[in-house]
Amino acid sequence: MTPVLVVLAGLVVAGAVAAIAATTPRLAVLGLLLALVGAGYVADPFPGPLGLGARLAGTTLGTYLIWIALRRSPVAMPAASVGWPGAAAIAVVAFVAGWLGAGTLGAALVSGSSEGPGLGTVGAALVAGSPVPRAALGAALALATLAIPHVVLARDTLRLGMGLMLLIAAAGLVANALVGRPDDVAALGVALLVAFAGAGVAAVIEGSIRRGGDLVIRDSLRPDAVIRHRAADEAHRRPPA
Amino acid sequence: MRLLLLLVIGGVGAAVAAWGLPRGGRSARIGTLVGVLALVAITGDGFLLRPGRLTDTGQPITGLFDAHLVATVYLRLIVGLWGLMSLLLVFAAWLLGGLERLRGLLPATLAAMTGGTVAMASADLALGAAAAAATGLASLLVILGAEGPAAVAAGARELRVTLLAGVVLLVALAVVPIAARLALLASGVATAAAAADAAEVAGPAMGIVTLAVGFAVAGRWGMLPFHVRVSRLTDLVPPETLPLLLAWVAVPFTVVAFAAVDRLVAPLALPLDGERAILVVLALLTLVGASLAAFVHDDLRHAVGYLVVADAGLLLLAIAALDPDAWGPGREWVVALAASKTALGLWAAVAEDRFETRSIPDLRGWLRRSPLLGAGLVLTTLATFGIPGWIAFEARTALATLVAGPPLDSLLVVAGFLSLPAYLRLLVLGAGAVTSRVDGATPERITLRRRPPETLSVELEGVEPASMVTSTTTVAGVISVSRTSVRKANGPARDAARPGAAAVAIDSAGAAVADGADRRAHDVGDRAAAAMRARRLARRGTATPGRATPAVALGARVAATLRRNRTELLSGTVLALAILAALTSYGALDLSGAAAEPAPILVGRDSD
Repeated sequence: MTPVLVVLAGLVVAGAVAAIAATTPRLAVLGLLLALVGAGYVADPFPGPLGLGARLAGTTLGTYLIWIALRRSPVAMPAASVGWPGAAAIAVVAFVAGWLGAGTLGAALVSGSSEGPGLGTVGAALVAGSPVPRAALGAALALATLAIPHVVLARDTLRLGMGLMLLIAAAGLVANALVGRPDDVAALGVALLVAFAGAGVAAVIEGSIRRGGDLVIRDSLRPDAVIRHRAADEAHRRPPA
Repeated sequence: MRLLLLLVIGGVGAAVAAWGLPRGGRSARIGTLVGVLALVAITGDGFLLRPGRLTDTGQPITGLFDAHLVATVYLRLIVGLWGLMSLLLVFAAWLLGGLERLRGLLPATLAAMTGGTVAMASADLALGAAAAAATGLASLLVILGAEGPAAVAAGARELRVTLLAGVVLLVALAVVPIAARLALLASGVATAAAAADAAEVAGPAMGIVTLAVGFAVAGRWGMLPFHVRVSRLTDLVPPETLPLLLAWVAVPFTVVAFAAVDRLVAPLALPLDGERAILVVLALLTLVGASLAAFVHDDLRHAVGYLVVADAGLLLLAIAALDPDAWGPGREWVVALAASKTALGLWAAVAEDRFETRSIPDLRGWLRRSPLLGAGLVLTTLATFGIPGWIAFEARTALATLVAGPPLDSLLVVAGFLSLPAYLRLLVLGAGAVTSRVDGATPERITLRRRPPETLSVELEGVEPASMVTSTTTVAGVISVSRTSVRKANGPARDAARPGAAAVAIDSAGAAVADGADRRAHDVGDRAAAAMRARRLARRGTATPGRATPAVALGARVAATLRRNRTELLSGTVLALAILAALTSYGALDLSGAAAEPAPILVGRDSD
């Protein structure tokens, strides 16, 4: 089971790369679905069926709402700040850094575990040396690294939404790695958060398409809005032939 | 069970209101009715919540989902107060612009109250954090209802700050137990080598977590340097929604953040002086900067937004204290803050509506024309700062003294009062010479004397017989048209203002009223006019006499009466909110005791 979960962590990262680097909205949403669904399963000990079911339902609902909101979106998205190779490279480096950091953390906990008070379920898998929490922390760091630039410097509603949903998945991965088996009711709460977050992202995307015809965030109240949202090609115009 | 009932009613009410109100017509009326009934029900249910956690033997006696959700005294107080204030806000919004102004406000209020109840009742911090983050999404119901691309930008900002804050809190809750464990090892429990290893990680990790939680709260309230969102929001949304968007929606998140710090970080008593200093500086910057901005801004909405931000700066002190003693004052202040800013927000909305300007200089002399509104602002100012002995005042001083020693604590207390000049500016300006805008506004009547209607007789040539006169009547801005014989038209003018005699209201002619008009038409034998009216009524589906039920007629009369006294009712609503805020600031309903109540903890396999 453990190798499967580690591979699943890799798939989660691959989904996140697709969500960020894709040039078509549908592919981005499929990548998001893969990342969100997979993130709930990269846990040791494996979550209970109720919690997993709730996470699956919440994730599917949230992603489906985003899919519906994109029905009238343009076929192509605004250009991503990083392409496929760049996003993949960032994700791999972050995954490795997270894996190694988790190893260091586990070693620090192990060295003092015999003298200190019991950990309970907190970080138990990390202390036991399981690779699953390391993969979970690696995937969490990869997702956060990919998502944060698109959240902080958001230029289109879809990538902002992708970034935020990936950050929620990253938070879930951190909890899986450090806390241990999540409580079923807490898992239900996180599932509801994912569903509502998906609804919120869908509403913003639908609003941008309805008002502007595309996914670009236009802040008409900003005096420099015209400058901020100029097309990328305008920076390096080709001379007329 | 009452907690579950509250959640179900709130959820259903929010869904029905969100479905019906944007559709207009009958759907909007149904959505409003259901939404208002749900708001009344959850307010009443909130006051009836039975706080209780454990029996004498330590067994859980109340709670939902395996005791994950627990009613507390503090929850009862917040839900009750929030519900009461929301009812007044909804009433004021209806007076300000009819059902159109309730489109976002009503469903967002219900959704936020439901989500906030889950967050604040949660005995599991992770569940509370998730619910608090989801609660913030209710703002989108208001923001995305606005027109123009700016709504998308504002919605994107709101989405970002809400979910980012939630993610930060969720990650912090996962990291803190590990960091606490490492901190324990570093304190000398383990061997020297292990302690040295742990010390390198524990302190910085806990410090980062503390800062992250502080910044999340700061971002949620729009404190410096996250304040840009606030002014943009005030430009976009209807002003009466600002109390919800700027204050109440952030309350559940703040309460959960306080619980996280109080339960997970503060008991460790770690030497986090650097992190504390950063948070105190941020609070000080917010208190000074936002107060200054509120004073110099000439835009009323911006000034109100910055006044909210300025008072929110004190919340950071509750986190920066890293002391269990800050638990009570912090939770007291967040309630007093939300209550006083609700009154302030509605005062600004009513002033903007009445004087038709957002410019503060143009409001000069407003107090002379609106004494009730003035009383509301005076009470709101009192509720904001309190007086010695009131819990709002005591909370301010307690938070300052907990976070720093002399003389910095005095500086923080003084900084907390820096927003006072902004309130005084509004009051002093209101007593000045009246501007033309203020002079042209409807003045408040202190007595309830009936206003004489203004009647303008119009004779329609070729349509009406010589004996018929069509007259338009204007009563408090409501225009109605009546067709009477010359003999009637010369009668007492106030007959036209009586609901039964005012023949045809342009917007919603009742059939009973139309029936009276028909009889008069037949009296003069004008068959053509009667036939034309019958055809018009048939098109409206109200041709059959007596179709208008007494309830509908009564509702129309009540609505007309309320609209006729709109000016005074709006001022009265502001005054009522200000009185509620002052009572909260004073400490009514034992807010002090409720705020000092320990947070519910999960009675489960891992906790006890």
